[in-house]
Amino acid sequence: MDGISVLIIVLAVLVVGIYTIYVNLIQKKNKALEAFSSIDVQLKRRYDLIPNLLKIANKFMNHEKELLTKITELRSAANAFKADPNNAKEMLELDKLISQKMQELKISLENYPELKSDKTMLEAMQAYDKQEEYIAAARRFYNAAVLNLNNCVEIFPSSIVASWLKINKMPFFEASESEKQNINANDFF
Amino acid sequence: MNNFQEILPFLKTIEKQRQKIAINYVFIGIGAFVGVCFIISNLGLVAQSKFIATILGLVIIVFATKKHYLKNMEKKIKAKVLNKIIQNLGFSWTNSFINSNIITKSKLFVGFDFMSKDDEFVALKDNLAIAICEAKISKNAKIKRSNLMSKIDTPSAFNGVIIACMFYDKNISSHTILVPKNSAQDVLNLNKTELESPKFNEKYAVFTNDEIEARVILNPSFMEKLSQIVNIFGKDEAYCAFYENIVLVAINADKDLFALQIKQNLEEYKEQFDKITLELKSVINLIDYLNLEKIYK
Repeated sequence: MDGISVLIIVLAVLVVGIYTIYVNLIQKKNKALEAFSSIDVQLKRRYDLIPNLLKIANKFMNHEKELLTKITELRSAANAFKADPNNAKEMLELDKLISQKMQELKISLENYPELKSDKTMLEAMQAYDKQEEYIAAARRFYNAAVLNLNNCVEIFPSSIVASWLKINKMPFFEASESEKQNINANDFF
Repeated sequence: MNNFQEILPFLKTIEKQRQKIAINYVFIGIGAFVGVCFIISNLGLVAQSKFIATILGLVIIVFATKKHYLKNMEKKIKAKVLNKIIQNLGFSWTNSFINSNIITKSKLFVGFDFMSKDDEFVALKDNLAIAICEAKISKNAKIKRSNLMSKIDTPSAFNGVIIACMFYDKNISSHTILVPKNSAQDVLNLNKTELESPKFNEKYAVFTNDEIEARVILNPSFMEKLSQIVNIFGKDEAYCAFYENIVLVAINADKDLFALQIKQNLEEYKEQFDKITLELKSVINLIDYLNLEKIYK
């Protein structure tokens, strides 16, 4: 086999190899985008549940006006946020803030037994908690997709192809500090 | 009165019958042996061999009838005891809604073409029906015909117990299945996905058309609880399907799970009774235990 044939074969293998890496990267990137988009969908569904919760809470929680106002503001900001992979970090930060405030609201509910046992409030909280599970699942899906993408972007030789295509790492979703803290029983009693 | 106490008189009767049969056959055996020894000592060689062959044949027939009696006793025990257990738990011994159509739609066993069922029980609760059946699912079924009977000869894809829960008024839009990794194959219209736990991924393959709902269902708590239910049946792997208004759990088993054997004492009967009661109770509590009601909306 002469030198030209060997060169052609080597080039062919190289092209096929690069193409395979390219396809793999694009697939992982799209998966991560799909996962990001699915978080956004789930978050929007949660934001849609918040006004109903706040409306019911407002009737009873006279001393929590500041908290309720803050949640309303954050919700409006989140709704106005145009979800984009480039501002994924900001979107996730905003969502963490909302989660924190909703957690404070749940804890404050303990001071209003009448509200806590109100049927419409119970149903609203159940719907909210159910939606939280979907958000948690969406986050897990997102983190798994981002892990696969980031591995490809960082590890040689796909890192080279990724830099040509300007495919960058995406941020993981991390639990907020309040979610990481142990639950304090005194908050409830 | 404790449920086992209610069937205790029946079991005592069975135990007496078993002892009587055992004693009878001991006497038959001794009598045959003595008779053979006496007679062959008074016969010539050819006559001896003919006589021994005849006696051996008779002994085989006699012990075969013993096996037949014991089998009948086992059937009586099963009919009485199992009936009692399932009635007390709200089940009835009747044809269930588990059929080839349900199995095909679940996509758990791709390409199967033959299904046979054994014991089936159904319980109707407030908002769902629960069915259990022992089933054998096969692929490439070959029917052999002889002059006297036809026989299905198949490589088995699954042989064990299938538990199905059907909600009356709830559904999920997605379709997710969970199969042991060593029996996984590509499924039409479902994508293979990997969950976060490496230990879980070593054991199971997950196929779904909704990544998020699959993760809502197959969370770590669910997997822990599923393995506890599977362990109650003496196994460590299961097949699961979640689609439309159905939850299917299938657990391989090497033996008849609801067979009740003749035992030597009442303690051993009680063990069997408690084991089957626990298996059936775990099935009834499946939906609550796995927390699936809030996912099916």
